[in-house]
Amino acid sequence: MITRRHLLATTAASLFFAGFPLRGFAQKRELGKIAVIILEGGMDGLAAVPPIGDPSLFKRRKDLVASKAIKLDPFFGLHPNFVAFAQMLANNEAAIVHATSIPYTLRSHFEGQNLMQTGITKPFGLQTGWLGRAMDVAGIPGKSLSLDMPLLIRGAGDLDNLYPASIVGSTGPKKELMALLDAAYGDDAGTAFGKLEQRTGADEDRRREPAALALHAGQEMAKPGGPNVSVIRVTEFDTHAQQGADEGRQPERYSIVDQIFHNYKKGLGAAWKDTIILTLTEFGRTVQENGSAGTDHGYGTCALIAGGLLKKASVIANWPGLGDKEMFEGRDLASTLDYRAICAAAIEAAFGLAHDEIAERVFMEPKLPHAYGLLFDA
Amino acid sequence: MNLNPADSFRFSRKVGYGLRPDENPGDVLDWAIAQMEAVTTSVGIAHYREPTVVPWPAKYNWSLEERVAHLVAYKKASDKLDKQKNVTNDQRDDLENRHHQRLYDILRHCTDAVYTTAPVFERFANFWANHFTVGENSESTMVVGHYTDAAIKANMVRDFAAMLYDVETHPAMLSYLDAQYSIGPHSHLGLEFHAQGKYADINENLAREMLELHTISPKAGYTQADITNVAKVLTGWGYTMQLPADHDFPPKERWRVFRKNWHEPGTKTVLGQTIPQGQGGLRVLTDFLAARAEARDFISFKLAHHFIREEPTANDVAVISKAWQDGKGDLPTIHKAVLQLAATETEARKFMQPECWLFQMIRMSGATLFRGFEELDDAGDNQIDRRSDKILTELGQNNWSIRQPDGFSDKRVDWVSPEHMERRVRFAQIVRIGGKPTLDADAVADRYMATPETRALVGKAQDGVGKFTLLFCSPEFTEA
Repeated sequence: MITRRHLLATTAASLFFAGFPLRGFAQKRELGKIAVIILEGGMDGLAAVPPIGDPSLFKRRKDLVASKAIKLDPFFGLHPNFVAFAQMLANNEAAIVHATSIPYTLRSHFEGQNLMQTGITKPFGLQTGWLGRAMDVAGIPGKSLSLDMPLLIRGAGDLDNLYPASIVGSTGPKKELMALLDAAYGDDAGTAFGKLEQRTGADEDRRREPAALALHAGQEMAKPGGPNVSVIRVTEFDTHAQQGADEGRQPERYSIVDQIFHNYKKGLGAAWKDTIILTLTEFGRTVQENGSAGTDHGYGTCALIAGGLLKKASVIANWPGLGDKEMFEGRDLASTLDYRAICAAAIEAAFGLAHDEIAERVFMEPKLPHAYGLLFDA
Repeated sequence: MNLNPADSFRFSRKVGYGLRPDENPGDVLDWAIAQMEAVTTSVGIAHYREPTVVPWPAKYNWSLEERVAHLVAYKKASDKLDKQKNVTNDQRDDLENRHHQRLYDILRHCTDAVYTTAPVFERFANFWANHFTVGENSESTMVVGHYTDAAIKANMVRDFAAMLYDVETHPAMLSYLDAQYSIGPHSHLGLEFHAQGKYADINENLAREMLELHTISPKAGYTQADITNVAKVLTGWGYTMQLPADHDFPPKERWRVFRKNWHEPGTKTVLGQTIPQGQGGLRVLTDFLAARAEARDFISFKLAHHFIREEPTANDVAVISKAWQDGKGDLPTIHKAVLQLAATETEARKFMQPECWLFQMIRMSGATLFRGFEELDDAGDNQIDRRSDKILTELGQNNWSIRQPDGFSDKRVDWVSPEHMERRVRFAQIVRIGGKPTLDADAVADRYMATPETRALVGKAQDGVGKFTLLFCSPEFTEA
């Protein structure tokens, strides 16, 4: 299934890529929480978590490697803008999966963004998202922190979103009007008005920077009866030009993602121990820097994962190498792990669903690798 | 064609922005078709308190030369700021405000829609501007207003191939999708760079979207090699702060700069078609792509999806695609086919995107919301948000925002989240309170012959603001 050319240990005993342990059906217990940070545009895994032990990296990327990467192990570094995330790694509550991707290799943003959310392999083949279907199976509510409702969580029965308005001269909707519109529509738009009717007004004047939204999301998720799932979106990872190494367009994104992790933890408080937070992006970027000190659309990338449900800090990677013949189609980082297996493991850990059920009903992929042990076995 | 009165009013919303209270076009189909023959001129108001509509002042309509000069000055000042430590947000804002062409362009975009006498033309122009999306990417925003005029609107009386070529060679697009800095690895400049140990190569961003989004779509089955070759055809195209010595363009076309020493030599092959080396190669390529059946069908679907209904039928697409084929891509012919179809399919409904909905609400009620062009820099009315860029951003549909090249979605499901509905409720309030509409909710419902259900709904509100909100947020008036 997966070849193991280079097995890389991060710290002495934390190599998890030794196979997929068989697990029986998960036991019933309290539902955990999942937060997904969507990184739109294609995050450059080689810049976020540079494989500094791979000499090809520096040959192919003159302008794109951070000069002071945080050394995670002899092979992998972490971009220095990930301050809080580095601390989480040190505290054994974060992990990195590298050389991974959703199984999509045609490099279109729009097909890729569709597939990372539907969780299947045929673009535009479903109107619901993998997390929405998982929530539907588990029967739990979710919330998006954006103006729209991402495809990722569509399919779940109980959805809301939050993205506070900032319009001088307007006030929040009146409950009685919202009830009337709810009844007049009687469909998904009606449900939206119904959600507005139920609002308490406490959300007025809230800040809406990603970090502030993450704090709010954490607090909401920590409340009894609060959403078990939240999604936050960070845009502009599509750095075709002037990407930056220490500072610049891609590194600025890393700071934002780092603050999101930090504020989720802060907002979640005691609920952090029941939570798993993971990033999701449509593809990685070309290994070779392009003609504009940027990178074009690629394939393999890395993912950042954190939360109290994790059992041990690690960099999980079956490193494919960056040599001419090791790169995917001679240009991209290869993917050696279907990232959906990590998503499935997060669902298993948080919602207690059995892997086989997740594979079949959520990802429509009965043979999806069982990756639970990589992250959640001590 | 004789549409009944209720269908006529709905048609005016389906293909345009509705009718202002004093607008009485007679046969709406004839009225709409007539608009397809000529490019509109921009209009606006000087002050929102005295909303007399006048031609848009030439001084607020910068040529590309002037915009490039602003760009040069802006870049210089911005680079200077970048080198300083502890730069405040105020300093950054001040710099943005001194180069404010963007703000005037956004205002003009709004006033063109709400005050024009050719709203159907404007609506179709917005369709194409969204099809050929140009969002913010460093330099692009300074020239988007020019792009809309020169590459989109001016070509709406020509053919698709002409529009495609002008779009792909406009600095707004070359900047937005990074073609500006793409260098042929075997070009003079590329070889020179390599000799100096510097890296030089293509950037494939625009090439990919030209195939995927602008023309033939992934259904055409092109490969990575096709994309790479399109990128090579594009090398050399860009804009420059100073004209290169070897340019071939007359002064007024200065913005279409082809830098020979950046161009990848040799012929290229795209989907089996040979594309010659040099400046002329791009037009061969865009003509080839424009004539492909995949482009015709892909965009015919998009037109039907935008103007006719949420789930276009095979017939909808076939009718538009046939007009496209028969007219060899002539855009007025295509647009008229869409209008005929919209007039025929009186049962078809399409949910309005928020910007279109807002413009309709302002037009139909005879309101005035946006600031005038003479008060853009003023603090102005601080009781109500009237800045057009701010309003569109709050609606979640600002063409000048940082956004993805696939444009704003035409799917209803993408626009009905609680927050999106919340914005509509707020803007209905804002227009009713701050826009001084000349027609109130009941008068609009009368004129547009609202259904008994809508009237019953509106009748349940306790006050004018409530009625106005319920009317414009009702199922009937969020679609057409």
